[in-house]
Amino acid sequence: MDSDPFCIFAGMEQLLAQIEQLKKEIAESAVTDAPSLEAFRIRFLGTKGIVKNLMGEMKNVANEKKREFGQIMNEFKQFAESHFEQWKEQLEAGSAAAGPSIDNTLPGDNLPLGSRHPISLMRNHIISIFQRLGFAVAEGPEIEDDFHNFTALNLPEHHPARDMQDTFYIQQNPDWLLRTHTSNIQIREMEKGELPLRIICPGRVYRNETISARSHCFFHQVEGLYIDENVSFADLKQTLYYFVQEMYGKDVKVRFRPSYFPFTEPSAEMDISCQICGGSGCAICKKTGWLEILGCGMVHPNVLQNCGIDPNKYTGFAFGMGIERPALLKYGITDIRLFSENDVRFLRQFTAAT
Amino acid sequence: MTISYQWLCEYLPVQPDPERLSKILTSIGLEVESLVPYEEVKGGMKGLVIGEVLTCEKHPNADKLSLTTVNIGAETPLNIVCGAPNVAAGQKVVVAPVGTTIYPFNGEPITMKLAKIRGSESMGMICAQDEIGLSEDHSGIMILPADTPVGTPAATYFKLHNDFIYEIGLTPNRMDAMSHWGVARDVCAYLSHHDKKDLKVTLPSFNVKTSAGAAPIQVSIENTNACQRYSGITIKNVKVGESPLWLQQRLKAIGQRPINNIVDITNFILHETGQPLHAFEATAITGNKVVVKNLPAETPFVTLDGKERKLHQDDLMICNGNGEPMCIGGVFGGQHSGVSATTTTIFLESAWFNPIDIRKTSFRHGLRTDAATRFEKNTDISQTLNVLKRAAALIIELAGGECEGDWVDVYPQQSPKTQVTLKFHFLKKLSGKNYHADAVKRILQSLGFTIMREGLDDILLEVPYSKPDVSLPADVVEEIMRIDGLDNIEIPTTIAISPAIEKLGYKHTWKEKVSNYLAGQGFNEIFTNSITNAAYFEEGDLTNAVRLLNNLSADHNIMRPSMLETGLESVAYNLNRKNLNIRFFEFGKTYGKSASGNYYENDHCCLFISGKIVESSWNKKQAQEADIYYVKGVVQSLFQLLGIRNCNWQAYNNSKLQLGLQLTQGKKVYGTIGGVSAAELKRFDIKQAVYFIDLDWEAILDAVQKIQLKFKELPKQLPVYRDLALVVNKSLPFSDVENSVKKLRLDKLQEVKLFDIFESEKLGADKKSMAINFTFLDPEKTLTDKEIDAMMSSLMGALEKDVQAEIRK
Repeated sequence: MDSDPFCIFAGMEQLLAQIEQLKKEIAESAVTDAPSLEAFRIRFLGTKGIVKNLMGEMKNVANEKKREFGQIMNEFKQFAESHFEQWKEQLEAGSAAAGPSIDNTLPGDNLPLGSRHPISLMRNHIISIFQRLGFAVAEGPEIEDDFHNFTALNLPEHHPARDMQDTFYIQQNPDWLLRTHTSNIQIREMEKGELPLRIICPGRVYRNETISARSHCFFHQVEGLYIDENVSFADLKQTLYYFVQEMYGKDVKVRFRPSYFPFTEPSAEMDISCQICGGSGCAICKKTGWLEILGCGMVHPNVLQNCGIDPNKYTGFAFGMGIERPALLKYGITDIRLFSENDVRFLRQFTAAT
Repeated sequence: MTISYQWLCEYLPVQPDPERLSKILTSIGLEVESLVPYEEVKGGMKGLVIGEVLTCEKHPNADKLSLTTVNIGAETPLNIVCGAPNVAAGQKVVVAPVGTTIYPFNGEPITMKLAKIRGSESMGMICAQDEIGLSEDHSGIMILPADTPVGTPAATYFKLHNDFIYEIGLTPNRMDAMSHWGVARDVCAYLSHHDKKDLKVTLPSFNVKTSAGAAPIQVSIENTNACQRYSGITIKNVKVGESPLWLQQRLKAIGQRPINNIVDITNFILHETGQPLHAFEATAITGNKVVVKNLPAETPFVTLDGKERKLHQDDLMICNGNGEPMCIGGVFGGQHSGVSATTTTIFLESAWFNPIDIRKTSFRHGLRTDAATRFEKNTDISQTLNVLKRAAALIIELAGGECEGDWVDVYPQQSPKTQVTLKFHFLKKLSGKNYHADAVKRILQSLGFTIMREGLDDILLEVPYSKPDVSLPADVVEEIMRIDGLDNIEIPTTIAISPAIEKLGYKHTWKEKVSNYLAGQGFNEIFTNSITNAAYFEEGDLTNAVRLLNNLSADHNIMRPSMLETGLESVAYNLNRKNLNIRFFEFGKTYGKSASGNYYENDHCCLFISGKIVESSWNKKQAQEADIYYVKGVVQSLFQLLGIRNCNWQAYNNSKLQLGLQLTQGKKVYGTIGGVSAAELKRFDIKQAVYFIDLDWEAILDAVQKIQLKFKELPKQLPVYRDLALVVNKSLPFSDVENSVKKLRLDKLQEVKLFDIFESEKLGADKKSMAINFTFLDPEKTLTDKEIDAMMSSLMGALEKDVQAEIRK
């Protein structure tokens, strides 16, 4: 014990010099493994270690110096302890990271991962754009009567425009059918008489068409309707222009072509610059540089009247589009049947889609 | 509808180039679906020239070949080896020199090369008709008239017709543009408006004389609703024969096959004016009288195609003086009244038929003829006589003959012109654009509208007969907007809307939440066809089924009454492609008809599970196959996700499910789960187990709407756990244990967990042991050992009594 130079209190200055010396020793110590860490702990922090010994000198310190001595000792103790903790952590971390028994290059677990259907994704995307413009979602029945699918939409019996849509009938006299478009929702919503009306209507529709790569007997549409006082074709263009910019980017070009739908007057089709070739002409746009993406128009006065709305006071616009087609375009899918075959190898490709 | 550029240009005072015309047509609502160059003969005979055979000698090394020299107007004549038997010196012939490509009538194009034929050089070919695509004739080389100038390009000599052909997707409202005249009028309106000058369609001038006296064939209309105007003329001494080249070329360019001059002229007039005509053999008109009327149902009639058809009482017939049918009015001719090669006197009909009647008849007999598709869209009633005169003039010009007697024109009640008042402020309100009044008037006048009166803010218009679809101010607005161009309506910079209150949004929120959760759990979302096959179901299951009256095919004939079958189709599809591990979900509908006759649609959320849930890997030696417990777990998690608590499982089985369970809450049924029965799997040729979850999405939405999530104070105490091991009869269902525990209604008992089941010889063959962990918690205070012991002993007591459990200490 006597040989230990730190056991005898030799005055404050000497103590300070001793502590500085010890600090230097600690700072320069190379603690690299568990044994050297343990040796350090025993030498400095053990029950018979240097810190404890020096603390024991308190009784030899003059009363007026006790406070100063205490502070110096505490600081030294913390210094030693913090080094110990630091080395300990380093060693633990090192052994966890580089432990010889765990090969962290082995493959991780396969966690289950499914996917949303591309039609769902596209429908949600379209709806979300219109929701931002204050449209509310409305739905309607797929099994519909002739009135709501045709007659109310200004498509009386024997109207040539009924040819445009090959209809599945399920009952005759009175006629019931599978809706050929989501426009029946328009009628059902207008009949409720709550104006103004601003709705977006997604749904499944049916056409009696041979199933091929380009057409199917069922597919999906989204239809929009806005009725208020003083709604104009310019407003329609604005809404749809906003939509395609959100959908296809700021640089998209649009073109409105006069067209015909019995339930709108005037009617138009909106084309966008071909997303495949950029407008120079390719097989997808049939060399025109334009892609037809939706039909639209001002709600026909007869349709308003059929739903009990005064066409002199109210005007409105309506538009409708397929969901399959933009999905085909977006993902470069070439066969519409893939959407309902549900091949897992197809579905899994949409795991990362939004 | 097919439009020829050259033909159209005949009626246009100025001719835009084909590309610009294409843009104009699309912008005014006559969408150009395709614009293709047209060559009457493929390759256009490019490089072929007229030559003269100077010398012709027998080939020294071949019996059937000749050595010729041919002058084609070049410095030196060409040496050509010719195999045709009819070649001789002095002939004018068509030559394909080296370097030109010929397009034979049958077969691939051939490019001429310098060739050695049996040792003699040949610098081209003397052509037969089939070799240059003119006809199938290969009897020998073509020999042209002796005065044909040497060196003339063959294309010039044959006056080959080159053109551009527009395929126009004509919408049903554009009956006014069903002809070259009609399209020309629309183009003129566009050019007048945009170039600010008055351009009018140039119509061909014609002059036709009638002879004095009454018409030899008279017309009477008995059904004046179905036929409101009938004009006719008798032309005698016509000579039926081939049409002149220009007429044949016009028709061929738009894809019509020339037949004879009379038929070709009626076709030509149809495409020029939009008015269908019919030419009768005059001698077939017994009694010299045409009667337009309906015949009794089931009257037999043999049409032009040789088929005997049974008439419907509403089919309008063109009959002779004996009342015998000659033609289905406006739809199709009869076998015995048409023009033949020997016809010399014809009766030409130009009439207006009621669109609805035409349409019904046309569909009834499956006769979608050119005439019917025009009449059913409503032709221009004011034009029947004018068009008849134009046609008669052409017939006399091209087939000879003269009119006999005067024009017949039966028009019992002149159709009034529609009048529409257009208010300028309405035009602005609907279009969003301020059109200049002068521009509006110019557009409307060039489209054939008459301005009857002009007010301060309105104009009174008379609608031309060519536009029977225009009856409302909105229709007039459309005409103005389309001619001015929809792209010329400016898009406002700010948006003003009346926002709507979201009513169905919650439905989508829940659907999205569940869908995204399931996708995260390894499920792929699928979409299956809601039209399915009745053969998948037993007759008894189809009492409420919705059947299609007009099937697509025998295997797509009903609306699905259940979601299982279409999903199994997809499962089978994948298993057949070695996609053996399936986790699918589908949000879809089933359909039915209630006893009271109302159709209903129900929303479902369905899951299909088959194969492995966890595949084996280096650290999971055992793959985990799907089983009913996984399926139950999926549903339990889903219901936690939905926040619907206190549900019960009840046994549920039907012919399609085994191990079936129903999830209930009081009287409500949220869904069923189970393994698909062996018989059902066999139907789809599936050889591995498939589990099916069918949730009633409407019931779920109904429940979640009523749930309001409330925060609960966190418990101040910690839970206490106790285990219990019971030995029970092997056949005892776990639900009996659960029910026994539940019956005690211990409010401090938070959770009951089954953590082990085992059987052993020691327990006995008919026994099993269940190890259960109980969690107790009183949020307010610490539970004493005494309290917990009391609860445990009541649990033990109940279990001993209810399920004859033997408690293992």
